[in-house]
Amino acid sequence: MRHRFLIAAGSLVVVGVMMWLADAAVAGQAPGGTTTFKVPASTYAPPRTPWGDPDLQGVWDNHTTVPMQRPANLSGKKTFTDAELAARARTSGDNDPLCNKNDERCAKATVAELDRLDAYNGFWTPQTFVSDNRTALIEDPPDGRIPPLTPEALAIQQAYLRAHPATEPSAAVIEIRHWEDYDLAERCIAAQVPTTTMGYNSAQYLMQSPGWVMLAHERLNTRIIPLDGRPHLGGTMGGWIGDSRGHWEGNTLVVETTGYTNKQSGGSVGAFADAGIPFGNFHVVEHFVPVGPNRIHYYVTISDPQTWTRPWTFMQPWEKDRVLSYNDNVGATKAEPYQMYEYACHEGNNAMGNSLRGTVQARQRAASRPADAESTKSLIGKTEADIRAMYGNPVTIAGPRWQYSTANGILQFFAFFENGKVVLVRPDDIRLTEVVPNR
Amino acid sequence: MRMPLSALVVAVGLVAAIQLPVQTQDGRIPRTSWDKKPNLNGIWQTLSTANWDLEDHEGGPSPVVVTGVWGARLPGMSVVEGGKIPYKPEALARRDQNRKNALPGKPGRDLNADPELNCFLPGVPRSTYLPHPFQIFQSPNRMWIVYQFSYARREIFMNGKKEAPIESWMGWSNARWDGDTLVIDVTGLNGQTWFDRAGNFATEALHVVERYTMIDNDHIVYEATIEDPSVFTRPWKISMPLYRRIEKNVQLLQFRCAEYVEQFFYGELVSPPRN
Amino acid sequence: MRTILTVAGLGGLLVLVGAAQAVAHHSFSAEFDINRPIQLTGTVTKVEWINPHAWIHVDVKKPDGTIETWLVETGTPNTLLRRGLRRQDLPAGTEVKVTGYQARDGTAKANGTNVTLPDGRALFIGSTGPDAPTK
Repeated sequence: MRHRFLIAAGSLVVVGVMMWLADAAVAGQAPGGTTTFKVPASTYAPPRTPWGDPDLQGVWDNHTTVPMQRPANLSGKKTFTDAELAARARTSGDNDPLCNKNDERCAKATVAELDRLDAYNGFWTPQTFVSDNRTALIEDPPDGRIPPLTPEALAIQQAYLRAHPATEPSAAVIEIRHWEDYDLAERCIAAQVPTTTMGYNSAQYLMQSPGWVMLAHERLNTRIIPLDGRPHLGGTMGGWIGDSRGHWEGNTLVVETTGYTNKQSGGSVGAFADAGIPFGNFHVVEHFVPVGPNRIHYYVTISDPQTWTRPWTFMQPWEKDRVLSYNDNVGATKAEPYQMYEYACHEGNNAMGNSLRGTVQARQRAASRPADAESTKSLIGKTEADIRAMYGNPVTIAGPRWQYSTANGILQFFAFFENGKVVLVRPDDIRLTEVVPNR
Repeated sequence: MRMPLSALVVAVGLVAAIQLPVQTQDGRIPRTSWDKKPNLNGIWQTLSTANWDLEDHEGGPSPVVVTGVWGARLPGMSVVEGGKIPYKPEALARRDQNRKNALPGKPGRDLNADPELNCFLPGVPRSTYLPHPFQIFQSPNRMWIVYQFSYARREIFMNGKKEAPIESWMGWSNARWDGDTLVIDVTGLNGQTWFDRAGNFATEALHVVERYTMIDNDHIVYEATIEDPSVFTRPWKISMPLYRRIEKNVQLLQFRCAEYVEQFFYGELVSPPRN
Repeated sequence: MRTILTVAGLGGLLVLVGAAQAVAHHSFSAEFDINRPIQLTGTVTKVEWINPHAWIHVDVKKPDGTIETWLVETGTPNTLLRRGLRRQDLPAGTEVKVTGYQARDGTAKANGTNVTLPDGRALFIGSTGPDAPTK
């Protein structure tokens, strides 16, 4: 069974890095496999707080394009050379969807590329990344791949995906019919801990006081970590984000987290663990390793013999107080080090209600759609000449996509052509007469 | 014959205001090593029932009958200096409307309900007197206050001078020391929070000035001056003690209440599984 | 030496990292309908600066002359704030063109795949207005 970890629905893919989890059939290793991997020691001695702890306070960001797993075509290659990095980095012309400029790329676009529900344009995402020349975040196993799931974990995951088909990213129609079809971040409950990159709003404020470290993630989570050696809470008192205990090893902050709840969740933004993997038996050890005045190497080691055949470790570099920049014709009107703002997610969560209502409405609409012969669906298979005869020249052409208006002036009609014939229409369930001829 | 609650409150309004010691007992306050200011680090909680109602309030049955005593209203004395909140007459009508809307009593997300009921962020000063602990983190030139309720937290800008760039639920906090009192000036609140379950409210014009005065190792006197000229005839003040949570190994726990209201908000919108 | 990577024009929220849905959290297809592409031009009446998504209220004049208010979902206001943009930078009265997809519940809501000023420039150009420098 293959598990595809696509970018969320509607987004473009960068640089051919589409991650496919290796076939998750169990490898020959017995559960509870071990590793000899050791986190490197700190190479930098930070200044100290007045009470003598290494001072790591500040706003740390981890924005990156390095994938979690090493792509198959880069197998064995741990880092890029400077030249390779430069070649991979292309300055962006714009952040607009594929056919906004109606240029070469648009003319060559495939139907699939255009028939995609894009998110908002890239205006919203910073375009400078924490420097990192690696090909994958995973440091251990050395092949840069997440270890196989155990047969039990695989079965649990498959059962979860059957019960919550909406979270399967390859689904053509994503139906949220129950709030649990959304992941915990979408439900505004928590982001997975620890988190990886989120694209935006991904910084964490690391705050210290005597005996404590506090990590305020811009999105949702505040982690409070005692350093006094007290025992873990036990059970599932750690809830969604686990129960953490920290201590210093030299200049490195080491945090152990257990006590997560087993509640299933979708992959979630910034997830390190995929949909359908219960957290309840996770043992997570994080190492915050200072390597420079504004740089930490953040290692996460995850062990759960019930889930993976051996522990595994990924690392993300973090940089402090970054000045973000954006790659579009707007520019930054004001450049300043990262300031976190409130993320009142639940308060503004209209998406949940909209999605659930959407499912109710969509099902009702499906039941009352016009007969195929009277609807735009019947245009599939028609030629360009046929469409022109019915509706005149399209108002807009974008690659293989012809666009007309409809009676209400807002809804648009798309006809997608391949080899001179219509292969797809959007919408496919309105009356032929609703499309407005362009004379 | 039952007296309307408002009449009852008027009758007792001026009597029993809570009095708090304000003199610091200097030798017993923990101080930071870096600036010798009071060390507010720790986990704190009020014991007041101000979250039910800032003004005097009797106990009463639960608005949801089947919850019996679990949902009963707790009695408490006003934490408002002078006893009553000085509303403009037209604003009082809205407060009373809030009271009616506070608990909709039917499924579905209702933005007119008490924001706390919806698990919305409580804002300032309500976050202080919810029945949940909070933790103050204090280091050189930095402070955060993290509340157990939901994901409520505040970055406190020490010697902060920047204006709030936008309104938010928890506001924008600029702080400075006034002797041994931490003064936090809060602006940029979004007018969508209430002061309590009794519908007491303000608008985006709300300006809160908090004062945290440590009087001994385990007690802070908390005062907040509330100002909103569109709602109140004058600024007014609340005060209450904050008690240090002294249990060994005490910590904030998870109260991610967004999850707890999902059935409430969305139960009626669920579709059956396909096939 | 620090290498700053600029990445190719990425038409959506997409930077891809992580084992699972890295960035663009929700499935937009769950809230919006790929079978309902829309295009509208109208006047901004207000912006709700809320997370996870800001919503732009746009009054649209329909062919029959009536005004319909559309709610356009965009990205996080925290990005706007970090870019130094403020409420007054998208004043009521601004004319915008929106392409996107309508909400699956059939109401006058859409996600703003592309929100532009009439001259085609992406929305939010800062307080310097139409003469904002381009990079």
